[in-house]
Amino acid sequence: MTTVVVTGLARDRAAAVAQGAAGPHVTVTTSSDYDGAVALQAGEADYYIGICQSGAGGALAFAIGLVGSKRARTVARAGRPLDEQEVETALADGVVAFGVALDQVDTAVAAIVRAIGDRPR
Amino acid sequence: MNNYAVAAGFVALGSLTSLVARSGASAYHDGVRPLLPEYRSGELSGQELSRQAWSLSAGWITWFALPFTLVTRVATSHLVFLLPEVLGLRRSSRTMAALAGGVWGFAVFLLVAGMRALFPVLPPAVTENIDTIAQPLRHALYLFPIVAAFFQWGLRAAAGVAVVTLATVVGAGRLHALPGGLSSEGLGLLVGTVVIIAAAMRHRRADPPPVPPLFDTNLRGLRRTALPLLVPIGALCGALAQAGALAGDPAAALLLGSGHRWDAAVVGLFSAAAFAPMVSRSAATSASYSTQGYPDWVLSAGMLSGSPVIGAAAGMGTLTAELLAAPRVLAALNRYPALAELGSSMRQAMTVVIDLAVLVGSAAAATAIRPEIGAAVVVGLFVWNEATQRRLMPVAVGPVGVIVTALVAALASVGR
Repeated sequence: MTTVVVTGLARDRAAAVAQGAAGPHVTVTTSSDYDGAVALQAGEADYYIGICQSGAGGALAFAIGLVGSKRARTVARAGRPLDEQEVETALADGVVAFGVALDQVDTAVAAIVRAIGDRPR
Repeated sequence: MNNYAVAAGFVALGSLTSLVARSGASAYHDGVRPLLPEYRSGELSGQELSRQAWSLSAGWITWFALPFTLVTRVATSHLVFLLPEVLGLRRSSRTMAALAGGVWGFAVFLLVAGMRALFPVLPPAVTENIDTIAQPLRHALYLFPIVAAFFQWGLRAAAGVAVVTLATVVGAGRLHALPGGLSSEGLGLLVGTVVIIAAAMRHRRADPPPVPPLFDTNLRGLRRTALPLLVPIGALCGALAQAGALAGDPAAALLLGSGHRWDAAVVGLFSAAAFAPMVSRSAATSASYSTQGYPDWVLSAGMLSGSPVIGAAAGMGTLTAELLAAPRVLAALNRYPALAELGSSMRQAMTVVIDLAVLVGSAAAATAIRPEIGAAVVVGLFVWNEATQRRLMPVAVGPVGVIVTALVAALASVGR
């Protein structure tokens, strides 16, 4: 089972989107950004999705502090449509914490969770 | 402040922002700050971080800042700070960094001064109606704490905050004696904000977890690394805000630009309370500060000052106090754990209320400017943006529609 923790602005709505996109092998939970990043570092969660206005500040501040900038990346930025290939590339690069801008929540969270579900375990 | 002083202020602000970013001691963009430790250690090159900072900043400059500066003739912080930061991070020589930031600061000044010079020659339909963009937002200001309470605690809490806030708005409306130019809606916003913060502080840990010594050391170190450059930045921000030339975000710019400086100042206070927990914690983990402090109470202090000199002193004082108090703020966040969560809800509330109120106001303004196309342009632009996964940040849709409509009206009046 793969666990994805959703944190940040509009996290309940994002979690609902994530549930809708999650296959049978993905569990979605929500928490505060701090608790979520701790869970990720402790291995209690496999992936982390953080949401803020820019997809970079509040969304990833703790995750970068705890798992490092190599494994945390903004994939959906404000004022720019999501590039799904960027999500695939990030996953392939070993990124586990994804930053998403608030105005891209619906498309981006679904794309990230789908891509996570499609990964071979 | 005369034009020369305002120009010098923007140039100096650009230079200093570029220099402080170069040193890695502070970043305006919340998304850049967590990366600064790796930048300072050399793990992340200046070129690479500058490139990343640009990709995170471009949308904010183009959509969050520029359209509002054009319609309000007030520079917004994102326009002033983000590009000098991108340039400073390239880690060229100090002289080059200061020069590049200063050139951008001058460009921002030219934009603001140019719009102010252009404004009187625009057709009356444009000049008389453009402030309508701010109308719904100005009258709905007190929704910020109500919506924040809804996101944080649910409908019942929101209803409770709504009762207190609305009573304030209605009561103040009968007084006609508020200080300065504070509107009854602005007072409602202030009271509602105090109520939700007090409610969040009722959850108090008797025995909070101690602040890790590393975080405390990080924040105290900022007095040596960041403070020397942030003191003049605070002064410049305070003076420019006092002069009505600088505001923190689209909402404050709309209010300041339409002559409601007290309301703009209260919006800055709400925003500062909303961002403070995040700024405080990201400063502690990254050993770097926020270039303008909690956005945007430094500017609010300036807006409420009586002269540019007092504004400069107020801006300098608030930013300095904030930096010196940073270790205590961090400890307070451990004692009152709900404050950080409330901050998220407040940020989200601002975003949704501003996005929608500005859209509605823009549709009204565009209709007043040129009835036969105005509303169609704004609504059409909104539909297009939603259908194309939001190439524009949602808040920009309305003002961009108004600018297009105003251009058509101006061209038509020239052709006549």
